[in-house]
Amino acid sequence: MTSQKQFIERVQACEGLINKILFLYTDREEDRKDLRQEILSEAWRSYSGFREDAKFSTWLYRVGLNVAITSLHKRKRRPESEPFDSQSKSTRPKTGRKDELLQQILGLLKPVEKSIILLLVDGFSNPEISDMLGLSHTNTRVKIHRIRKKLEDHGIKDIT
Amino acid sequence: MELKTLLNDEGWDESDLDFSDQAIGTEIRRSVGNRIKDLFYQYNKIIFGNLFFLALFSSVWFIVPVWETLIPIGIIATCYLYMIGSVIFNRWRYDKPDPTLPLPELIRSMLAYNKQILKQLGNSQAIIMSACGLAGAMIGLLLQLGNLDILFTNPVGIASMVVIPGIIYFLAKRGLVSSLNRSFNPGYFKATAYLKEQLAELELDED
Repeated sequence: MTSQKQFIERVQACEGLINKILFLYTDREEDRKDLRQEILSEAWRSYSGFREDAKFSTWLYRVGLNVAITSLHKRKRRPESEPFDSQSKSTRPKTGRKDELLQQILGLLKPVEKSIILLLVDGFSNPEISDMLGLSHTNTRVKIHRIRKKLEDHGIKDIT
Repeated sequence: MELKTLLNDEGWDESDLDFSDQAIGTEIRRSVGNRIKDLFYQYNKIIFGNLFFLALFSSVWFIVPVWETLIPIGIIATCYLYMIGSVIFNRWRYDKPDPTLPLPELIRSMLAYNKQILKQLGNSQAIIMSACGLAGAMIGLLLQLGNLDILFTNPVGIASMVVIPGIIYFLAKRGLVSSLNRSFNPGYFKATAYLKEQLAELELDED
């Protein structure tokens, strides 16, 4: 199988993973499309360096989260260009009835904390999370502890 | 309530965003297109960067307004205008790669175009550096002594006009040019390396 074809198939298999990152790190349709472009573009740029010793989804998580956090910082420096409205949610994944609550909870978290939550929920261990986000093990442990506490204060008793 | 349940209740695999072969293929093309844009930015950087330095060195005339100042300014102007002119002329002479070409073909055309644009510049960089080194030394003397008499009357001065450019030429031919280029233009080298890497990948696909 050709590398381009293989890349496309692997990305399509991880569509949900990318959607999760987009959901966590963007509010507007326009930003979501831009971030999707950035993630795919960066993933393809780095694909030649992907070694098969790791799972593609793990590698894509790492690329996607790094791009999302960098892009979020860029957007924060950029002046607001359009108001947040209901139409801006049109490309969000199919929303469940608990969607509002989830939005509120995620609104409590800092960008890196969102990444940690995402990885914890997907079953990654603390050392894996540290490695993927470039944090020390201690730092990750402390952050997880703080996240748990923050969520507990808002009625979320458990993360996983 | 568990956050995991909340997160997993979302239908992540269903969104309006396009993950079709064509949409992802477009992103791959965009990624290559961005590196091609980087190369065009580098050509503009050569033109405007050299114009800036030309103006900077020419301003020595206002500090030391004697006829001898025209010698180093003339040398520098010749070198810089040659560099600027060669890039502008080659960009006018050769057609830009057609962005609608298939990706491997587009990258091949861009790499060939890049070679054509920078051909004269690459071939003459050692000579240009040597000449500019000599002119720089002259400007140094002018700023210190106000004239270049020592260069024409003192044997050491006369010899230095040969030795200084000679040493620079020797070093330039021994890799000084490429190491300086790599330090000052990392974007150019990253872009060309990326395009070559992509081409190698896509050629494997073609095979």
